[in-house]
Amino acid sequence: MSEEELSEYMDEFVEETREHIQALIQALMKLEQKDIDSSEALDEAFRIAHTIKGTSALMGFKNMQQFCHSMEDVLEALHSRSIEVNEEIIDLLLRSATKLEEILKHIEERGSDDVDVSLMKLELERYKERGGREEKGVEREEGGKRIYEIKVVLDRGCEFRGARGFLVLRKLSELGEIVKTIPSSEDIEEENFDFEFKVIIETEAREEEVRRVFDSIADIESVEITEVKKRKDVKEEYEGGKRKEEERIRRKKGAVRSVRVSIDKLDTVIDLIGELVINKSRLMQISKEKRIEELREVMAIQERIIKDLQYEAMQMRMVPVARIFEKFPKLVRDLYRAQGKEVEFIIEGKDIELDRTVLDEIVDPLLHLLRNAVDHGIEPPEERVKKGKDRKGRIRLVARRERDYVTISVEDDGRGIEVEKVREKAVKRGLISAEEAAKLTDEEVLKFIFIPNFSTMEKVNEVSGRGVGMDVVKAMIEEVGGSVEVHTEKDKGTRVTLKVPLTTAIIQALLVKVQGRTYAIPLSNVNEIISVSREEIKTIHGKAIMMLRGSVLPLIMLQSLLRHTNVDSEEEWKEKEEFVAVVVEKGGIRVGLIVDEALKQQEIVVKPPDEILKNTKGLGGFTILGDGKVIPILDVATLV
Amino acid sequence: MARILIADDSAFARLLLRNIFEASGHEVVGEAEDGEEAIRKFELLKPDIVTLDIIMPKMDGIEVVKKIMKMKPDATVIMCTAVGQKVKVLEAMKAGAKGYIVKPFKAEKVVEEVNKVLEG
Repeated sequence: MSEEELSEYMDEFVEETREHIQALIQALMKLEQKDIDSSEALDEAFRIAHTIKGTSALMGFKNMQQFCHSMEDVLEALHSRSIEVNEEIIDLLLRSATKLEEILKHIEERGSDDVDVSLMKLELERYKERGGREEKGVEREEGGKRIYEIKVVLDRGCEFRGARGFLVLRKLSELGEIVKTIPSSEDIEEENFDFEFKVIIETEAREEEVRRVFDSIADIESVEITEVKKRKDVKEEYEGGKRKEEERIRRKKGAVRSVRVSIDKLDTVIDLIGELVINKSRLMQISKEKRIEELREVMAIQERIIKDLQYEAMQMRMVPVARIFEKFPKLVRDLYRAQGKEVEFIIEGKDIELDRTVLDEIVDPLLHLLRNAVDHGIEPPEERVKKGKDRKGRIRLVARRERDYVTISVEDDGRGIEVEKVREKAVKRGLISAEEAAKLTDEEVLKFIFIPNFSTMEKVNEVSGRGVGMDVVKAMIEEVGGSVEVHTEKDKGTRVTLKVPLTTAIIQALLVKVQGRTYAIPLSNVNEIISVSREEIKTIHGKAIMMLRGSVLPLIMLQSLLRHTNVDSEEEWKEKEEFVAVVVEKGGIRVGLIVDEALKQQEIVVKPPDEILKNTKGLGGFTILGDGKVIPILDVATLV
Repeated sequence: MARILIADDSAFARLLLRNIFEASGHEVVGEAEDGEEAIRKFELLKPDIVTLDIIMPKMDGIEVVKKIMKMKPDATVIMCTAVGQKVKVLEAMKAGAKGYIVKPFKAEKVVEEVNKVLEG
């Protein structure tokens, strides 16, 4: 292929190969599970290695091609049972797959596959040799069946080569099963060959009998018959070919039914739909104000259409979580093996779909959680046995679709978080007083682990058995409008549940009014709206607080926050008898924001702030309301 | 030695084939000018081999092959074709013809085809 053509296919090659490597890793992981018949997984792994070899050869990546070949050899030896499947080999193959990833990354970044693989190749080759692949002699199929590869050359003067080829195939098929032809039998009939074609046939007939077939067919210049060594090879290649063919057809069909669209374009479409939504609200408002009955009817239909359109556009951005989940089994495995632990890792709900942007955002938090589960949750086997637990720990990663959000939980059956220690620590760090701490429920205490640097102050695993970067996890999840919940039970395990919205482009928000201006607060940050009478408000260290169901809730005037003065003037608190407080929570901090009025809950389209305003404290973006007003969306995390 | 029935609407072609077959030691037991006649004579004469022109009046060669195959599944039929009838030839083979000879006829080719077919 020319340079130009190569670069044209590069993206596709990288994308496809990445998928293949993932599939290869999955197949290899399956080998480890003893209860499953390994031959299928081996077939799969072999086939994928073979495919990667093929495509990398097409792209001219020799190094990668040869490396795949070495992997293929080992897989082949495993398949023919000349070497046994064991942990060591699987480990080697998995490491090789990781190496492939490395090569691919190199290709993606630098366009070359120039990665040193010599050591690993050597290792692979050593394995193959140890296995002592049997290639001597010809393995006979049971029942005396043989495989022949027959090269047929037609006479130069042959007319209608297709018909002649057909006659050859028909005659041969009387002898046994035609396993494969090169080119395909259709191509032979269509005369898509010069004068030569190959037939692979499985038959009980001896070579002379096969040769005799050609005595009854004219226009044959020569026939070469070779007995093929192993039936498996051919079959496998054939099956692989067939599958490939099916895949090709499926892809072809798929290509007709789908097009690749860049995520940017999709975003633009969603953006435009957002504008439509806004405009729709405006029209609705006009029709209401002007009392135009007809327009109202039309708008009702319009509303439904736009809603469908919005839904469809959102669907387009949806990607199954499998996309990120696929990487985890290997990662978890690497982790627990490095620590000498035993873990059964279970994934559920891979097909659940999420907005791509949301999905990208939750990768790191999930990694954190899985790492925590392995590092701090699951105990070493001996400890587990002492506790009367199964040697093998269990980690479950479960995605579930709820109404308009998705929950993803990471659950382990490890030691759990020691709530009392968290409580002690909160007191020790001066976050709360001892009396306050005593009053807190376990659940409330657990919230402390989300406070930045809370548990990393000391040796993490001693304190809580967990907690590395929990504040980071929470922050990242809240970034996409989600929330985090923790449940734990001593020696039973811990479950961390991430609740994330399906999409970030449209959110539910609470509209509030402060000094005549409207603001939107993402509903995911809002706990509740309460009314507070002046008597309830107390002052500690000059700051307004109130007791809400037994715990302290700091109160802040939203207007003073927006003025960027954190001091509430006495007067403001004296102005009214009754206040409306929106209880918001973010980053483990809960405050009551005093607003003039809580207007309503509404679906809004988020427009991120532009470059200039991006770093404005408290500003999460804008939205345009039905009446055309531009409303700031408050970012609770930076506001408070 | 085989007993052959020749079906072709061209008298010249029939003569040519008759000469070739007889020169190579075969016996031409009959001739037919169209498809229907070919079938009638096939039933009547029970030849070892029938050569069928693809384009014939009343019933074309392919129809004839199909009919003959129904009557006698192991019948030996050789198609006579002109260059450029690729699709028709393949169709005839699929219908059950055992071989084909191409116009303009070359004696050695025709003989080879017949002898080979007889081998099978």
